[in-house]
Amino acid sequence: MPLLETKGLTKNFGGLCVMNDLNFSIEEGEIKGLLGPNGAGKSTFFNLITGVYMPTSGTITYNGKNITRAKPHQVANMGIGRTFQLNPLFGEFTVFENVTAAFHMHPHSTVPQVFFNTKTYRENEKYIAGAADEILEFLGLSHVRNELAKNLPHGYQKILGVARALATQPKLIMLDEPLGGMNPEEIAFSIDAISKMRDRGITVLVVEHNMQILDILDSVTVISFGEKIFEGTPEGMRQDPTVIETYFGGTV
Amino acid sequence: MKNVNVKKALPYGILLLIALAAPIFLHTSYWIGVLIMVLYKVVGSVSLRTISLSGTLTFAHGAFIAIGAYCGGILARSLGLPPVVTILAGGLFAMAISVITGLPFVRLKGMYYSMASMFLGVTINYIIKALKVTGGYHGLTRIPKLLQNDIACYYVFLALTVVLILILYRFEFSRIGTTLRALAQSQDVASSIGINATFYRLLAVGMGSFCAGTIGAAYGLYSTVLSPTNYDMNFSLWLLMYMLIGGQDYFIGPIIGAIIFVLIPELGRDLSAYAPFLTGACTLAVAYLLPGGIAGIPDLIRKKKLQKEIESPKEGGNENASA
Repeated sequence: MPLLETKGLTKNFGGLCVMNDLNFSIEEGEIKGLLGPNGAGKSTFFNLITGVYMPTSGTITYNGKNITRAKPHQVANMGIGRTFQLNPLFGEFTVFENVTAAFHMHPHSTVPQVFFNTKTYRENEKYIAGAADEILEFLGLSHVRNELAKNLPHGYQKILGVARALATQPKLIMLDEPLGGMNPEEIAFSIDAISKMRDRGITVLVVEHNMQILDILDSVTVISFGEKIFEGTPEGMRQDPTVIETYFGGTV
Repeated sequence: MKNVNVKKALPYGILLLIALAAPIFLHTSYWIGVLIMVLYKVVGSVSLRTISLSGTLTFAHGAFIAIGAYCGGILARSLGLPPVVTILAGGLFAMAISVITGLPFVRLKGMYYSMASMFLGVTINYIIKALKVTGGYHGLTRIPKLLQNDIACYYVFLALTVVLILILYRFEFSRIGTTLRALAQSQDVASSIGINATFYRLLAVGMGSFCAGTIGAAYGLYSTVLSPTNYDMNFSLWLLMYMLIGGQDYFIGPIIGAIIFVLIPELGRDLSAYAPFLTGACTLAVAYLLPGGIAGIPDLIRKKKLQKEIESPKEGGNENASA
C-alpha cells in the first residue's frame, strides 16, 4: 500500500484547470521526484495535499486515511511536513526558536499544562531543546543557532525551512524546490542531507528544477499542465520522448 | 541565569513599590480615584496587547471591558452577590461573549479582523444602550460599593491588577506566547507545522477578554455608576494608543503607556483642554523618534552603542595607517 495516493485529483480555479485527473502515489521509504516545467501544477499539488486548497474532485489517501478535506494543521499533525517555494520563515525568531516552535504536536503540551508549568510541560520543553539542537546539527545550522532567521543568507534560510519541517516529526516530508537559489556547495550539502533523511526512515517528495537531484531519486513523476506525462525511474525519464518534448520542445 | 531574571523583574518591582507607596502621598479621595483609574487602564491595555500578540489589532476591547462591568454590576445590584463572585463572573462572561463572537471573526486576517472588531465594539455599545437591564442610555446606578474605604479599595484593586498581570505574563512567556507570535509572523508556516490558528487566536481573545472583563467588573464596583458613553469606540482607541506609544513589542510597554497617559493630564489640569493635541503630538513624536515605543528606549540606546563600537575600530585602524 502506498504511503500517499491521489486518485483523479482535479483542481479548477474558475475556468482554469490547473490539475486534471492526477493519479499519483508514493511508497514508504523512497525519495520521489515531482518534476515539470514552470506552471505545471507542482506547487498546486503540494497545496492540495496539505489542505491549503480544496480539490475540485478526486481523493487523497495518506497512510490508509482519506485526507481530502483535512485542514493544513491537521495534515501536518498526521505526519506530513512541508517547505514552501518562497520559503516564508518566522523572521523575528532565532534559528533555534524557529525549530523549537515547530515541535508543536510531537510532543504536545496542552494549554493548561503549559500555563501551569507542569512536569510534563517542562520535560517536553527539555526534550524539544535537545531534539532541536540535534536537527540543527544534522543540517549544519548549529553555528547560526542564535541568529535571527531574517538575517540569514538565502541558502541557510532554505535549509532552515527543511529543519522546521523535520521538527514536526514527519513520516512524509514534501520539499518545494529545496535547492532553489543555492550555491554549488549548499546544493551538494542539501542533496546529501535529503538522502540521509531517507536513511532515517522518512519518505521524501521533492519538487525541483535542478537536475542534480536526479542522482538520489528512487522514482520520478513528471507533470505538465496539470497532467501526468511520465512515471518511472530517473534513467527512464532521461530517455522518454514525451519528457524531452516537453522540456526541450522537440527531439534531442 | 538568575542575574537575567533579576534584571527582568527590576522594572516591575520598582513599579510595584511605587504603586504600594502611592496612597501615602496621594491619600485624598480624588487622587485614589486617579490611581485606580491608572490600574484599570494598565490591565485594559496589557490584556489588549495579549490579543494583539497573534498579529491582529482589536477595536472591540473597550466593549468587552463594558460587558464585564455591566455583568458584575447587574449581579451585585439585583442579586446582591459578594464582590469576589461578581468580579469573576464579569470576567468569565466577557470571555464567553468574546469567544462566541470571535468564532467567525478570528478567521479574518489582519485589517479585516480589525474592521470586524470595530463593528462588534460599536454594536455591543448600542446593545448596552438599548437594553433595559443595563439601564439603557442613562446607565446603571446604585451599584453596591466594593469597600467603603477608598484606600482599602485601592489595595484590593492593586492586588487584582498584580494577579491579572502575572496571568498574562505567564501566558505570553510560555509556549502559548511563542505559538501566538509564530502565528503573527506567518500563518501559512504556522499551519504547516500543525498550529491550529483558529484555536490559538480564540485562546488569546478569550484570555485577554477575561482579564479585561474582570478589571471592568472591579471598576464598576468601585465607581458604583456605569455609563455606556464611557465605553464607546474612543475608549478602545485610547487603550490601543497606550499600547502603541508604550511599546507594542514589550510586555511593560502598555503599562508605561497607560501610566503616563492617565497621569499627564492630571499633573497639568489647566492644560486638559489641550490633552488631545498633546497626545497627538506625543504619538507623532514616538512614531518618528522611537519606533519601538517608550519601552524600546533601552534597546535603542544599546543598538546605537553597538553601532558606535563597530564603527570605532575602523577609525582606530585609519589612525594607525596614517601614523
